[in-house]
Amino acid sequence: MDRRELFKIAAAGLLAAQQSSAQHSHGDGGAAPDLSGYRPRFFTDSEYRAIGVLCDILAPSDEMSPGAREAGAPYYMDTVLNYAPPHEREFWRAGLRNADNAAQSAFDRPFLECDAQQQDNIFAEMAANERNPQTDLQRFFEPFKQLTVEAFSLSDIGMHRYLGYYGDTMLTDFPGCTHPEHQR
Amino acid sequence: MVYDVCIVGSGPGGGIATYVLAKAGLKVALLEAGPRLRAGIDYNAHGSPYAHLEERLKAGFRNPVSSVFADRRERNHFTGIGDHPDHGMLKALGGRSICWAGHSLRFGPLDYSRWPISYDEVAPYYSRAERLMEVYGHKDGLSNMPDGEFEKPVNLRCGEQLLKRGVERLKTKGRVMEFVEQRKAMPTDRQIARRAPCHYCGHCMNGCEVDAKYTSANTPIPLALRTGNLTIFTESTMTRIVMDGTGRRVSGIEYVNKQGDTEKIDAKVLVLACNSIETPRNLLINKTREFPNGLANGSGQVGKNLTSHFGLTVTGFFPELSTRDASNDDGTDYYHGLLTSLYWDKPNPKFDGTYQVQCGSGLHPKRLTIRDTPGYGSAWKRKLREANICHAGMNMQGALLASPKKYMDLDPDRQDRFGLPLPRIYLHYEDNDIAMADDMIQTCEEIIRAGGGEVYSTPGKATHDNLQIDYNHWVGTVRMGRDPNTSALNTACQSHEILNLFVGDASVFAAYPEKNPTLTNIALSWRMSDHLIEKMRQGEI
Repeated sequence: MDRRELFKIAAAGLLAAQQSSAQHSHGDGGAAPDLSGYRPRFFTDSEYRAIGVLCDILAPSDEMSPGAREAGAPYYMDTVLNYAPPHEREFWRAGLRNADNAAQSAFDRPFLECDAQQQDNIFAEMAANERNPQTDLQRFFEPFKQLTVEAFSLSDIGMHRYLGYYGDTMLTDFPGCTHPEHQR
Repeated sequence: MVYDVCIVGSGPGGGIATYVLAKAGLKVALLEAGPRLRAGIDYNAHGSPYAHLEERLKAGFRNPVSSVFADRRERNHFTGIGDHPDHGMLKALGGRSICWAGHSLRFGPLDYSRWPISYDEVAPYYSRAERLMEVYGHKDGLSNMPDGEFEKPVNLRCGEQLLKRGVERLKTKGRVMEFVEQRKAMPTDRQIARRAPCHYCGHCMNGCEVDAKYTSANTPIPLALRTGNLTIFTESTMTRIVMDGTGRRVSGIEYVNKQGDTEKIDAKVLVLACNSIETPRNLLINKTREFPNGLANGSGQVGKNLTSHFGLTVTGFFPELSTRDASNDDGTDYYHGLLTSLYWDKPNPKFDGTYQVQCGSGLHPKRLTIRDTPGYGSAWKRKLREANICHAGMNMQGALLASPKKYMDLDPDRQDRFGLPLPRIYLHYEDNDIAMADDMIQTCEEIIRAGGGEVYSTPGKATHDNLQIDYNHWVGTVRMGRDPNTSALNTACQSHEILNLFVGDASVFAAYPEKNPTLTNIALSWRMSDHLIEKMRQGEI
C-alpha cells in the first residue's frame, strides 16, 4: 500500500467520523429474534425443557415481569453452548444428568417428571452452599446461574422491561443526577 | 531510502511522536504489528446482544457485545510468574489507545518530586496534549492533580453523588480526601469539537464507534499523514534492531511483513514505543558484541522497576435510590467520579505510596456489576433489580511498590512465531501492597456508610489472591534518570549509550503515582519528540 493510498484512507476515516455522529444509529439493545418454533441445537429436547424449568425457578415470572424462560434465556444458552468448547459442553450435560440423578434418588423419577414442589426441592439442593459448593450438582449452580443472568439481563424483557434500562441511544448532553436530595 | 525516524508501535506514545516528528518535517516510518481497524465497522458495541449472538459466536467470540480489546487481545504473549500477572496488549493501528476509557489525569508536582524532571517541565506538554486529545473536566484546584485545558465536564450520576456526600461528611471529621468529576479524552463541546462529539453511550472501553474518544488512530496519525512525511507499515513486526558499522548506533530495523517476508527500514533515529513489556523485551533480545546485556542496558536496569496499578472493588448499596426514576446512565463509561487527594501531603505511615478510587454507578445491565447477588427466585430477582438501581461501585487503584520482586525478563523456554523469546512478567504482592489495599478497602467502606449506604460487596481483607493487577498500566521498565548507572535513558528519553535510540512509551516513567498513565505517556512522548527534533537540528544525532 503506498502512502497516497494510506492518506486517502485516513482522510476518509476522519471524514467518516464527523459524518457518523450525525448518521450514527443504535440498535434497540435487546430485541429477541422470533423464537417460536426454535429447536435446540446443543441441548436435547428434554434437556432444553429441563433448562426451561431451571430458568423458571431461578428467575420466575411474577408480578414484576416475565421470567428468564419467557425472556428467551434457554435459546441464548443453547446458542452459546452450541459454539462452546467440548469440556464446557460436557460440563453442562453432566450438570443436567446430576439433576436427573438427584431426582431419581429422591423421588424415583427423572427431573422433568417431578412435580413443581419436587423440582423446587432439587433446585434448592443445587443452590445450597452457593459460595462454597460441596457436590457436583452444587458446582453446576454457579455456571448455570451466571449464564442465565447473562441471558436474562441482555434480553429485551430482562434489560428493558425488568431492569428499566433505556440507554444505548444518542444524547447531546449527559444530565447525570438531577435530584437535589442526592446532592447534599 | 533512509528515513529520519523509524517509530515502532502506534499506541498513545508512538502515535503522538509520529505526529510531532512528521509535522516538524522529518520523514517518518511508523511500524505497527497489527492491522488498521475501522471504528464502527471492525468494532461496534451498539445494537441488540440477542440479534448479534449467533454471528458473534460463529466468528469465535464469546461475548455477544463487541469489544475490540476482548476480541483481539494478545492472550498468550507472555509467561506470568508469581501473583497472577497479566498483560493487556492489542495489536492494531492505534494500539491500546483504541480501547482505553480516556481517563486523563495530570501527575502533580509532588509526584514529580520522585522524578529527574519537574512538573513545570512537563506542564506545557500536558496542555498541548489535552488540547489535541480534547479532554473534558472540571477545574478543581487540587494541589497534586493540576487542572488542565478542559472542555465542558460531565456530570455525576446519583450513586456517585451519594459517595461524594460520604466524602464530604468524612472531611468534616478531619479526613483528607476529595471527590471530583472524572477527566477524560473526548469532546463534549459541540461548538469546538474536532472529532465527533461524545454521545454518551458508555462504550469507551469497547472501542468508540464514532471516534469521539481520542485514539492515536483517529487524531495524530491522520494529522501526520496529511503532512506527506509519514509512511505506515501495518501488520509488520520488528524482529531485529540493526546497528551500524561502529556497533554503537542504530542504523535501522528488520521486520517481517504480512506476507512473511523479512524487510529492512533504514533510519537515522529509532523510537521504540512498543509498551512497557515489549520495549524492554526488544532491547534485551538485541544483544550485540558492544552491548552484551542488550541495547541501552549498560545500567542493567532494562526490565527492572516494573510497576503497575492494582486494586479491588467495593460496592455500596444506597436504599434511598430505590425510588428514583429510571434514567439513561450510560455516560462516558462507568466511572464518572474520582476519589483523590489521599495521602498526598501526609503519607500513611503504614505504607509507601498513594491510591485513588474510580467511582461509578447507574443502570448498566450489560455490565451488571451486582450479578453475583446470592440467592434465587422472586426475592432474588427483586434484589437484583434493586441492587442495579441502588449500587455504586468503587474501583481502587493504587501504585504497586517498585521492588526487586517485580520485573520482566526473557523466557528461555518460550518463543513467539518469529523464534524470539517471549517476555516473563514477575509479580509478587508485598507487605506494602497488602497494607495499602487494606487501607483502600477500609476507606471505601467508610465512605459508603458515611454517604448513607450499606456495604453490598467487599473483599473485607486484601490477600495475594484477591488483589487484581491492572495489566493495562505497566510502566517503569526502561526508566529515565540523570545517572547512567541507575537508569537506561536520560531525561530526554534518549538512551545514555546509543544516542540515536529513544523511547516513547510509559516504560520511561521514573516513579509511579496513583494516576492513570496515558496522558503523562503522551505528554512525555511529545516532549521526547521535541528534544529529538532539537538534537537533530543541532547535528547531535
